[in-house]
Amino acid sequence: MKFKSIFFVLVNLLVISVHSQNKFTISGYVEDLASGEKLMAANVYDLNTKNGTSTNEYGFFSITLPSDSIKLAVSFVGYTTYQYNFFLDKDINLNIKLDPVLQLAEVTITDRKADETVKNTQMSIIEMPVHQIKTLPVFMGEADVMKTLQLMPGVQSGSEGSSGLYVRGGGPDQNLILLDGVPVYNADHLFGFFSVFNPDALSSVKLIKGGYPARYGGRLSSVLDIRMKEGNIREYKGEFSIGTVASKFTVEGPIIKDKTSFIVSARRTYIDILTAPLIAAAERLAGGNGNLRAGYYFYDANVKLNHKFSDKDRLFISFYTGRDKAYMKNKEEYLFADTINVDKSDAGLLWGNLTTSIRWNHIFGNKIFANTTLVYSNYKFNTFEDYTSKRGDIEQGSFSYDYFSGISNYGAKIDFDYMPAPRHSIKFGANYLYHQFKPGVSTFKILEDSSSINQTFGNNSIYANEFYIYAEDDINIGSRLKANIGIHYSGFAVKDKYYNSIQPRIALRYLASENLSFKAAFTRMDQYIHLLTNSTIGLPTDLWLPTTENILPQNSYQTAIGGAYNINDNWEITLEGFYKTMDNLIEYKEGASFFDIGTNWESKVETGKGYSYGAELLIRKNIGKFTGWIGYTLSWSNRKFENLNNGEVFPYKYDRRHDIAIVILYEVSDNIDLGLTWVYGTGNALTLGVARYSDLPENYQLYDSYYYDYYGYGGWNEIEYYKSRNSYRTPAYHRLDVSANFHKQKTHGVRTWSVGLYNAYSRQNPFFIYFGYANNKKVLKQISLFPMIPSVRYSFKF
Amino acid sequence: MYMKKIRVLLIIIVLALFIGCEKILEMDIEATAPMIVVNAAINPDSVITVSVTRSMHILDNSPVIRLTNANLEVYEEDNLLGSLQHWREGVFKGSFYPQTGKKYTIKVSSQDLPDAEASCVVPYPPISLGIDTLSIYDEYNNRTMQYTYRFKDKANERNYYHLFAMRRYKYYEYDPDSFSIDTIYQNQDTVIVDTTWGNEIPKMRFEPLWINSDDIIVSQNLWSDNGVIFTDELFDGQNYNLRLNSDSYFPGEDTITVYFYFKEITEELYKYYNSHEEHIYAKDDPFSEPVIVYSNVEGGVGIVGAFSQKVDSLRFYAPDYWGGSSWGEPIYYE
Repeated sequence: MKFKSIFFVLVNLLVISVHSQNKFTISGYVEDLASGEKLMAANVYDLNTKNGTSTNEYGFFSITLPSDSIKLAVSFVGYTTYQYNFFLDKDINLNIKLDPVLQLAEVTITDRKADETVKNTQMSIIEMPVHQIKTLPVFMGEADVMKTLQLMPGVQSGSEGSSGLYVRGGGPDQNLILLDGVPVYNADHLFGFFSVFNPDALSSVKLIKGGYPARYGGRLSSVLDIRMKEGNIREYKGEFSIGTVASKFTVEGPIIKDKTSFIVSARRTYIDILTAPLIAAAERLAGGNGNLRAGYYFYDANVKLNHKFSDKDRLFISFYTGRDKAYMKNKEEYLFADTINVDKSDAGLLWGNLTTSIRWNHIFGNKIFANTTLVYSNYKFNTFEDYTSKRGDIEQGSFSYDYFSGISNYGAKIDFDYMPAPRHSIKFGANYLYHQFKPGVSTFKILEDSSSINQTFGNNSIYANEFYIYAEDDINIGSRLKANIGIHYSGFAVKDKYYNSIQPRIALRYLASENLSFKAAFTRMDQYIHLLTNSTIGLPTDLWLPTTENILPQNSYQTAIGGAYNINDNWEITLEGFYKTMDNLIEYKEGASFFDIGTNWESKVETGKGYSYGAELLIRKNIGKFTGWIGYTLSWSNRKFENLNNGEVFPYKYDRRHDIAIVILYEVSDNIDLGLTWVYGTGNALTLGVARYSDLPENYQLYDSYYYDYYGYGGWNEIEYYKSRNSYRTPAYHRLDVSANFHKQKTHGVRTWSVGLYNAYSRQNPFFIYFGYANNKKVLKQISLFPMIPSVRYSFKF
Repeated sequence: MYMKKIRVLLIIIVLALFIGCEKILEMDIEATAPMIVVNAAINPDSVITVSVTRSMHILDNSPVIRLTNANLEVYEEDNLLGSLQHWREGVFKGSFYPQTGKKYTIKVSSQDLPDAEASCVVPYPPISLGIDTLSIYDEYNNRTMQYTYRFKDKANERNYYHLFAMRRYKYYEYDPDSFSIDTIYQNQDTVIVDTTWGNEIPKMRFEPLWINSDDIIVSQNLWSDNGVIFTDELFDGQNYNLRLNSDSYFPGEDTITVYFYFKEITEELYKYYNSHEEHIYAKDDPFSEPVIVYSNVEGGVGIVGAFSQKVDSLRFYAPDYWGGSSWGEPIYYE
């Protein structure tokens, strides 16, 4: 009944909003004058009536005002404000081009005014300007979207070097990562040390931690909405850079000026090329023949095409592919029975994503903006091993092993933005995804002495259909209260089973003064897919699996309250508290291992609940020579599984009581900027034996003295005694990174030298802890990954 | 030349990046107060036998301390049956046999350690229906033995099972210190003898037989030839044929007897075996989350469980039992 009422209100709002005879609509796009790139969230405001709106994700706006004289101001931080005075007596289409204030030192352009945070209904949102991602100190010189987001309150990083996001006590599988609207299933390169997004190809990055608008769904903990650049529609531009571990380039420009544009961006690491001679030399030293080849690399590429058919129709085609490969090849030749024998072996791990989207923007009338998207996403993991042995030309034997797993999606969605009146901004739409899960198939082939085995075994592919529909309205209720009320309905069909859920999404904002607002949000989220991940590491072997008859959809309720305060349009202070419950979470059964492929995956997991709560403080300065922020999170995150930890509540592995990040960017001059980040986090929770004891000497009643003498009666194995799961804490994590960028205007563009120090005071942070021996004493040992690491990168932008 | 220098420099940088550091962690591992460790699997065929040791700090590498002076009392349905006497190396024995369907409580006290106590109810014996055998050749042309163990499950109750096998056979062991004397020639004054050193001495051996099953009902194939455990979750109240694989070689001759110990075990013992098995593998695997071993001992740690068993045996003549290529080294040496 409740949901019916909400729908009824929404429908009424739509009806009421049909404009009266004396009102007309001003609509159009706001874009960058130089590149033609559309500007999202630009303000469009009538100074006379004090009514306003902002552009959507595609730079489109529509505002309906009474017939009168209009003083329209269009502003976006970092751009000259555009003002246009006219008398509104008919519907007007306006395409507004804003002029960037500064051309060279991009760092001073910030994308966000502090007062937007105060006035926006949406809470728990992080908008991260891409140029800031590129300016901060980074690991091995590679700017990384995920690692920058980890510096924000409410977002944690997991283990050392990892690019996984743990948002408000949720796992990395609970983040909906969208690249141009397409879900990305594995955002990791090199076991998570780098993420798959190349910042050079991106235009915006937005992370929502709570108070989710109804247009998003399908994951419990966050939505990471990443948009690729559209490509400069006016002139050719480019950028290339050479770094410590990878090089990359980006080229963009018009195919038909002001109509069609493209952007191509790619990068590749070259650790494998650099280390190949060293590995061969090391093998020779060890007595080998120098034929060993081993290495690792990753690459990724983004391509986007954009065509403007008319002011009302635009088409975008975007494509992303990335691949990681770790490999080893060896060849051994030896003389046996006067014949040359050759043994060859080849083994490797490969994984990667491929995503494609085709989007069509169409404007119906001048108030309804429609975005239709076709999506394809695929993630594949493969490990293989091949061995052949030849005597002369005759094959003596061979062995090959292949293991595949992955997930792929085909989908379509349509989203409408309807702006009937300045008080309302309505969004509604539908989304459909066809899933194919491949939970792991192995192939064995053995050929030996004329007998052969050729076997394929594993889990069959599973197919599923997922869809959702939604509607939301961002409503001004009086001058101080604003609400975003929405409803999201989703369904999932797999193997004759159908699951569905109705998810209310409510967010409120109360403007106490021009600079102070209070906010609250309540949301429910459902997730129909699960990531089966071994709890101690994040590997490409992690399996995406659907909800089934036995494993139900995950769901969560989150309540958040908070306040936002703005000082001089420059400093923003936000304080938020949240409480989140999660149900039907999955974890590997104790002791289950990925290599245990013989058993069905459903029997490998346990389901349980999660609870997290905490407070987040963010003090952020956006404009000036000094910019940056201080983020602090105080939080608790616990789990309760009937069959884990004897059914008692235990801390989540990434439960982190205190998490602090300090980020300072200082622009010394137009040519030099400096960056510093310092992070601190309570140590990760882990299970560690505190005592040892003897086990039950099995079947000892039966054994004769021979067994007694050999094994004794004290038991054959010793058991480690754990007080409870995750009851131990590793030492705290902290690290300082510093960087400097030196820009110089050259004839054809701007060159930048970036130097940085990761872990500047070489803190040995724990990556892995185990029991070992030193001087015949049992001790606890810690492995740290990265000491102080310098990096250097040369970039040229033209 | 310049490029070469850059390359060398890059190689050094890349190498520097991937060097991990190891250090001994000077962290205090909470000193958990030592506990009494009680381990027992009581059954109606044997007098009550309990192993009592003491837990040690995780970093203490000295041998486990056996509590030879502990006091052990056994209660049947909450009535004191009597005490257990120390037999050897921390193992205590009583003079009483447990009865099926009755609850037994073992209370242990030892100087300076908190008292420990645990209870279990001795289950009724399982219903065995027989064993079929099949000898087959595997893909490597080795002869292996397959057994089908047939049994009936009791309806409308959760039953936990442990099936375990032993074998008994005669074998000959070479004893280099023994000798035999053969008289070669003898007359009135002279005896000429020839001594042969080293002899094959006949002995009997009774040892676990490796069995293993891929059947869906099996929860664990236990470590170190300790058989399989399973529950009746998928076949409550029905007859079930459990297929088992085994090896077919043995180091003896003449005949071999294979004994199947089919046990109905308590839920506690099942949980213990299950978690213990996973614990062993997870303990040394850096990619697995540690597994807490189930314990039902209050005030201490360990397991007090019970079982009732049905023993079946099969006798094979050696020529039927061993396959041509199956000869190998004995599994266990004295």
